[in-house]
Amino acid sequence: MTTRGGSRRVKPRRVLVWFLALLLAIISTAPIVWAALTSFKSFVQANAKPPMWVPDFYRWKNWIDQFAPGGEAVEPLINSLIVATSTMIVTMVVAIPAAYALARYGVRRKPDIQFWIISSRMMPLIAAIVPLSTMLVWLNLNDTLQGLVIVYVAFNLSFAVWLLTIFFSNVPIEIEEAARIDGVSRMGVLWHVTFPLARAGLVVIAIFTWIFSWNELLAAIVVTTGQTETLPVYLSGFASNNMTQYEKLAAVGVAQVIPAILIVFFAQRYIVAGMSMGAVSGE
Amino acid sequence: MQAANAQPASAAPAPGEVQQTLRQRILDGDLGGYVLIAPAIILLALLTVWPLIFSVGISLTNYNGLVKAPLEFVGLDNYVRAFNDPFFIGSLVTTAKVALVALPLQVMLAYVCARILQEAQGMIGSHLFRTLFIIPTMMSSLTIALFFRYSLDPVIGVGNEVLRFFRLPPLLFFADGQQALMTLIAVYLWQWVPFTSLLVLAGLLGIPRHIYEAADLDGSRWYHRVRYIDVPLLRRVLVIALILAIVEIIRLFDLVYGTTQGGPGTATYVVSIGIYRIGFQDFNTALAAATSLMVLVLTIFIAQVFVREMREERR
Repeated sequence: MTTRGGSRRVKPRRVLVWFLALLLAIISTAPIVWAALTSFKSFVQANAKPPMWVPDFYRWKNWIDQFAPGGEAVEPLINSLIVATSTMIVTMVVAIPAAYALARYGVRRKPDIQFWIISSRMMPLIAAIVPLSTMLVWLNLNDTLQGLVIVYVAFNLSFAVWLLTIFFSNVPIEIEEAARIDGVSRMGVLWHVTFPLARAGLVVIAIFTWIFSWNELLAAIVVTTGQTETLPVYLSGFASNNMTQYEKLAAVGVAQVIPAILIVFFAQRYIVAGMSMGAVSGE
Repeated sequence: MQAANAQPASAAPAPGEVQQTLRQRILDGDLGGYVLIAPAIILLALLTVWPLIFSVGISLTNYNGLVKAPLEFVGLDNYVRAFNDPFFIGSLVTTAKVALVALPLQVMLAYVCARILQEAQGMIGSHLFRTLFIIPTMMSSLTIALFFRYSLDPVIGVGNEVLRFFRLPPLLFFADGQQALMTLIAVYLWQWVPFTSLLVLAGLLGIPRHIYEAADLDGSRWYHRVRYIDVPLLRRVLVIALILAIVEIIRLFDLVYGTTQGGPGTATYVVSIGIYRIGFQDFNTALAAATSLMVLVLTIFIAQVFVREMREERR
């Protein structure tokens, strides 16, 4: 709070702050904007030096080649949508009961289970991918979307259980007990009382399990090939090429990033809780 | 907190019944908890116990995923090999280098960005700026890598055009053994500083205003604010941010895979890339298991520190 006399002196500083904030926004979006512009160029234009600053916006060829029916990126796109959505659903179905049990029932050795849960989330996937892929080969699930979903659910589960436990614990137990006294079964309480009150937590889990599977590369490279490859695996194919077709890469890359942008715009308030496992803010 | 709500509900027996049937104990009583938690425990075991058993077991043999050679017990050979493998040791050193350079920068830049966002609050467009700023947080690391691979191409990349605009000499970025690691760290920071700033901003907004006002009255300078108010009061947030960042650096795979694949030479050969090469390009499953196990143990150790910090936070 500054007085009126003070605010005039402070003004240049406020202008500086505004420009710095603008600069941060520009730095974070420039590579995406540049890729979006590139997606409208031809191969020659994309490799021009000096770069072509304003492309011909009528040139939708790269987008059509990739995403029109029969396009190269259509199958990876569908695979990614299937994997991400299945992972989200299965994770929630398994995690919700477990989290509720940890929050409300007298489960023995609860702190140990919680530590185990958190450490498995922090584990780098690279440390588990050799055993997991070997297991999928033994189970004949290698190179299937189901196999990839199992890996993703296993990896996301810890985070989902951990975060949901926090949200469920924050639901006042008195409300649940009141419903119990009115004769509602425990499962009924979970469905009619706890879920609506812990909705924010459910949203966080849904968003983060979905975007994790949508973005993940390492497990997808190891588990899937050809017909089953996901969008990130398809994209990574561009990287191993010596003559990278950047204009095509740009179109697929921009499409791949759209869900991330939507989440940031419409679910921003859940990001801190989701990314820090609730360590800093449990909503 | 946990102790408080562990008991009450399960202690009350179903009304009008003394002896509960198994069905009731599951639906309405104490056994329900274990039934609810079982599927999650089984799947988690798949991810943690199974890899542990597999890695310990396989790392003591000569197993490889390809050839059906007779399985032999080789004792600690794979561990001896891992420690004598210049590429694997080199990859650990490279990851450590990334951590040493990136971590302090990440925390400092995040604090600066968080302060800018905090000061800008309420100004025209500031909400939009913050939203745009944190987009990298949710983006796929691979897509980020590919975008920068294009923008930072030493010949056709737009990065050198920007440098030229500011009258700076052009760089080779990922193409040069000396510059590649620093470029990788810069891209890593581009991706992760926004998230860390969000954490710090959440912490900053929790500091009561009157503390700053009191400091202002005492005529303190900006660096006093940083040293005596923000750093001590943000300590827990900063520790959590650091631990998450360390885990992220150990995990670093997509950014390298999409840009340099470990090169030029071994300039950006980080530990995840190293294990990936051993396991899925050389198909030396046993050696990959041994090296995975070392990374696993390291991470469990870090997770323990994290959990301890969180417990104190919730107290």
